[in-house]
Amino acid sequence: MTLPTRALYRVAAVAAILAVVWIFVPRFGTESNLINLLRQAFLLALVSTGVSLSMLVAGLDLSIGAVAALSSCLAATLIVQGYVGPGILAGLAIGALAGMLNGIMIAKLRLPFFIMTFSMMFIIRGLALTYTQGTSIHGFPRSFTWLGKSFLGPIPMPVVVGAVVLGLLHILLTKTTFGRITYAVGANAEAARFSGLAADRNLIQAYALSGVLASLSGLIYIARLNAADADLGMMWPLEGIAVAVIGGIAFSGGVGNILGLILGGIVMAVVGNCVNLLGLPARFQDFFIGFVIILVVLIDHVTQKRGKAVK
Amino acid sequence: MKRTLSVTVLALVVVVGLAGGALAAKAPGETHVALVVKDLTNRFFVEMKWGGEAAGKQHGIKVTVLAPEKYAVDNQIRIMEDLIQKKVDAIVIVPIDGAGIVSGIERANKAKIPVFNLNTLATGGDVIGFAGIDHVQLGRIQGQWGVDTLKSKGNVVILEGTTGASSAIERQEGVTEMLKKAPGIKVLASTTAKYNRQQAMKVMEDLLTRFPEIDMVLCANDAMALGAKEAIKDARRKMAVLGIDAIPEALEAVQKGEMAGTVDSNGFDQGFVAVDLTAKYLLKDQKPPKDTKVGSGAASVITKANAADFEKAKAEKFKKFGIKVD
Repeated sequence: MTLPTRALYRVAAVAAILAVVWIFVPRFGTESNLINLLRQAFLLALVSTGVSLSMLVAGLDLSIGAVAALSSCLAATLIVQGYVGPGILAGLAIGALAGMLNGIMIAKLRLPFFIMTFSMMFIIRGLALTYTQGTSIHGFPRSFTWLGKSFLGPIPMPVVVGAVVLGLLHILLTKTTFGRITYAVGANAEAARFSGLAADRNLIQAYALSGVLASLSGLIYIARLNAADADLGMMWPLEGIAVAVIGGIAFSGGVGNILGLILGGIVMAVVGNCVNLLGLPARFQDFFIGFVIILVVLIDHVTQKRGKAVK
Repeated sequence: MKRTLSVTVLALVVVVGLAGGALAAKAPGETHVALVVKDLTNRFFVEMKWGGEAAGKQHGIKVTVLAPEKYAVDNQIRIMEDLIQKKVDAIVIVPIDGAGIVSGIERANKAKIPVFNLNTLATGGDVIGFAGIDHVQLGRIQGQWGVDTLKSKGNVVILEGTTGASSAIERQEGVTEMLKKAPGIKVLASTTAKYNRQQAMKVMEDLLTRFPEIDMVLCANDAMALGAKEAIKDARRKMAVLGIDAIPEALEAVQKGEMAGTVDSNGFDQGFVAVDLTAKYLLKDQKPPKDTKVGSGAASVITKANAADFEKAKAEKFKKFGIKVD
């Protein structure tokens, strides 16, 4: 079975979930809730981009939440003083630096990606806590908060930013050499190396990009919250993995379309939204998300097997 | 000449001090208590330090206040090890992590240095006593203000702390106890946002679409109140948002009218009570109670109307104990 048909299954499954929810959950279909949902979905998709890139190269970046916290806190210090542009650039640069460090250690020193990014998560979170000393940096100028709070017509700005970023990533992954090498390295790093592809450089680039995307997500979140603290993104690695898996990015690497993250984001946002709309205890959210992930992956496996049988 | 004079004065002070101390179990002037807090750049713990120093002054004992350079429990343990080497008479510890600090307390136990546990409960080791803020009372103050302000009628949403955390359970207990007394108040929803600003904003977004009419949001800490107020502002809705802890950012938001109020969780008195009880243990051999509950620093919610009074009352308290506020 070809990839487009599998993606079609996924879209159909999400559409079915939406239909059921629309009918049974009161106030789900209201305009304000749908806008709210769209914003949450695209923010989740954005958070997941870093994790997804690392998954595509058969790795995993667990440091994204910590990187987002540190870079956005440092950026916030500049932004509250009115240096919005330099603040944003500094934040993104820190993300790139942290990501690059991850990539170099993994590609050149062959450190297991889990150990490296897991340790990085603690180191960077520790740095963020040391930097903020448990306080928050707050009160940003409007020239920054519009990133998280404003609208383009009826569409919230985080949705616009998320869509643009996902679009660019899609082009990068499907139309460029970087993209082709990424999928090749993810499918089989050794084979890619033997066939003369710059696998190590690709790994470093992928992790650096993951860091930049984490920082960008962090910046949009602090613009929405109008404050930055070292607590930001504690759950992001796990949420990012959930979105990626539901969106069809394979853990084994080299498989998946980055646009699938939109579906993953929608599913995750809908589950959280419904739990709150129905007034269920918050623990149900975790419970349902676990279920949905298994269900989606199960459907994937079944359709994949059938595909092989037909071939 | 001058030097001789000061030496004489010093000698006199020492003699008087020793004479006074002879009456007690241990001389106050020779007694040294160390208070180890989580973080001295955070105003809350600075006020806790002032409280500890004030109690020390009252008993005439030496109080040293320390905090790790880095916000980590292992660094607190390292500080405790140094204090054991220096043979201080007692350690008052405010653990960054209640489970992580246990080995530090056990080391002090082995060296026979008494440990008093403040603010965050340690899960093991021998301590002479524990003191912490009365979370139930904080919740009651918030709930009572809600009932009074709404005149016993209205729609309320509660954002709870981390599920299972004792502070969250106790604050919630206090709030609901007060709200129950006013049957006209309807609790539309009570759900956790894990003491977290980001989480509170998301949960509030959903609750705003679910309930077209909300009059008040009661949050178990200020971080959640600050997240919720952003969601409300973005939805262009208006309702009273209350927090607990009186962190500087929340007091700022109260003054600006972005938050209706917050409840003081009183760092000063916590520090004072802990050092006071420890001093009594060392000097008068009085065993501290197992669990001392410290009351809020302000009997009511701190609102825009009384925020200035609250700051003034606090400043006066500091002045009374001769503390210089920077």
